[in-house]
Amino acid sequence: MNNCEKYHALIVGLLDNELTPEEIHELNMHLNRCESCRNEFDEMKEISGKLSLPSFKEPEDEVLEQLWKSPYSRFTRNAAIVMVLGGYLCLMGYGFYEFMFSNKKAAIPKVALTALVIGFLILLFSVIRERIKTYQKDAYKEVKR
Amino acid sequence: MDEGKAIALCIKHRDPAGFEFLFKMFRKEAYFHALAFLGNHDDAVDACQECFAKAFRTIPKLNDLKVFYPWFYTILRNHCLNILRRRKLESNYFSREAMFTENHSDRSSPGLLMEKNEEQLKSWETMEKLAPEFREILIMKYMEGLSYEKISILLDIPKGTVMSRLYHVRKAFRKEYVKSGGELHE
Repeated sequence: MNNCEKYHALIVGLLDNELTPEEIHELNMHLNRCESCRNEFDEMKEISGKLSLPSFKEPEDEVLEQLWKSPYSRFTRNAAIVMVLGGYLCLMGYGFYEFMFSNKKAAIPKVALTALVIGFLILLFSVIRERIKTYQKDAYKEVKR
Repeated sequence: MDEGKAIALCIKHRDPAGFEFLFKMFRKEAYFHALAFLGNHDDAVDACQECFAKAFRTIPKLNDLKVFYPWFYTILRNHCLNILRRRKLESNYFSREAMFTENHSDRSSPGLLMEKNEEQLKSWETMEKLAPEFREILIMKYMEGLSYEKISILLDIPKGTVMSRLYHVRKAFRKEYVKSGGELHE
């Protein structure tokens, strides 16, 4: 029976048209004298028709583009984000400083702006604190997406 | 540029342009292979992203690489098998029932497939019940139509082993097909 194992593999090769003429000849010789392998051949042939699997749909180009981001484009994008955000924050800071410390502006808008900034900072702080608390209790934080 | 030059650019000059060429050449193949293992689009995209990034980091450290995809496929294959192992552990952990059934949670959506008839769908469902190592070679041969030669290179096994593995896969497929009520005789 152990000898037959070699022919079992060759049977599959024959059905997949992957054998050399010598291998086909060798297998045919064996099949002529081994009933068990003939049965095996019939079984394998029977299932061949069921092995035609449907193909995957062609993915769109955008999907394929997502599969890897070139370090060039990543670097360019990150550099642009840093520049835009940095410039914006500098301008905001400068504007704020000028507005608050200029003697020409009235006191009421200065107080209102200070209240706005302090309120924003309090809100930001409470959101961050809440987020940290939630994260510490999150049972799924170890589960990778 | 050809594959050899692109590999040389990556290894000798650490030039991302070489890797970009290789990525464009093999991205669809990689996506289909990840899809075949993981069974859904999002996981396949994530796996490809991680593996291409890993390959990009690792390729300059190699001394010699003749062809890209078989090497990359090893990375992708190990990554996908790790994900499947983790999925199985999670499903066993969260559902005690999963320990007593042969339920495979990594089922593909039929929406990912091209036009298919009822019989092909049945074959697909049968294939999905097989072990990942069996599904892999079955898809390579009977979905992608790869030759034994190509399969042996991708899996890094001799051609004879490809044949004998396909024999065991066909056996398992037949058993599962009959078990799920499929008719072998028309």
